[in-house]
Amino acid sequence: MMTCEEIRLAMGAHALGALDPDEALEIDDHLATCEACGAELVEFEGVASFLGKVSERDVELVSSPPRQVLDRLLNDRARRNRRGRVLMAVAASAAVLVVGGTVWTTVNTTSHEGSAAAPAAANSSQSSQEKAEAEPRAELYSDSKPSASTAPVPKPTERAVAGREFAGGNTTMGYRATVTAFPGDGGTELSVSVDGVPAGTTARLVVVSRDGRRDPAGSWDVRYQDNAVFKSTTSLPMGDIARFELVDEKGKALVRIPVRK
Amino acid sequence: MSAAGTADEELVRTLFDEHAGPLYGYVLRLTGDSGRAEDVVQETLLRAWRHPEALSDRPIRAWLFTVARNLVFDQHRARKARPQEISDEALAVIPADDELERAVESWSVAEALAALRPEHREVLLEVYYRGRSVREASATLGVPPGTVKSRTYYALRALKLALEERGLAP
Repeated sequence: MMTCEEIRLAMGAHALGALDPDEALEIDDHLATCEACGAELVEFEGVASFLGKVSERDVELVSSPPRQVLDRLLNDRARRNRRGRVLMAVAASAAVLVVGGTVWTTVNTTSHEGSAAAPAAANSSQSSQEKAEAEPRAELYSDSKPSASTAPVPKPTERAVAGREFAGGNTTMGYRATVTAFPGDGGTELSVSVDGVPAGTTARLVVVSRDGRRDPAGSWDVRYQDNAVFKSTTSLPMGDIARFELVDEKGKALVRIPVRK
Repeated sequence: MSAAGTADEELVRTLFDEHAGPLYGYVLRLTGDSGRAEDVVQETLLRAWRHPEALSDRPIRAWLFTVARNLVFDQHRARKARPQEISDEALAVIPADDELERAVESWSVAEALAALRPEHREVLLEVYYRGRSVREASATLGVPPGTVKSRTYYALRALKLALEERGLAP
């Protein structure tokens, strides 16, 4: 005769139907008269009912997510941090070089980390650098104040141009886009980067002038891992640009990027 | 690396550790292709990392599954009928339906099982998934039948707790 304790220990195997017929019978006899053990069986059957929702392979898959995905995520994050530092370098120089809301920077800034960070700005760059890393796409230029007394002269080897960066977002969709604009020969040179737009989307950049003209400035397919910057030009001079629009294949707006004066 | 950079890395690791397993399983079942599944998991976690605000007011697992599913279907549609039918569906705007809820639940069950101690998981695999009797499992596992029984008992107890932790009450 099995005791309640022995019955209970066998109850798990019983709920899963793994006991020999003799033992199963003995337990069933016991359950017919023991309410407490009966309640325990019901509880176990409830747990066991979940087992049927998954397969052995499912459990394997859950235990072994591909580590390379983590590596790629961390790499992507590192790249974004580098980009944050690059922007910060621009912002650090912007802090002393802003004239009338225009950022003076150098044309090779994005490919030459830190080249635009003037020594005069080094002291102030530390705390804001961390901020930029936490929020890589933050609008770094918006609150910059001119400080003519400490303005360094751009290095002679670098062509100094006045460029501005504009950011826009579509909070409903989680899309963001940043357009950097530099005056070029007979128009404006543009670099666009997007964030959060689904892969497979064909994005088109439209430049809208202050008098309402729309100048298509090319399109590209957004891909996974696409940290590439889309480069384009528009014949509109920078001062005539009211906003940029990123639209999809069907002309539906993805992100609007206003140009602040 | 700065403090902000480290915190960032921490968030990425946490997202991966807590969700990549179930998410990968779910996406692999949808795509049947491990390479594509990896891409979708990566993109989904990246979005979660970039849009923490989207995660604040809803169950994160359901959000991740929804984003992943949309990515899979968007890709599928884009593949089938470019360029006319490129989807511009929003990030996770499709409300969770029954199918999605069931998927979230099943993968939480798989996760609960994976979280058990190895000997508990092993005994459940033997007696439930491989349909072995106590006697057979005893031979396979090399432990006495009494141990198979008690392990099954404690495994189900532990599983009940693990399910409850995931909001699944037996």
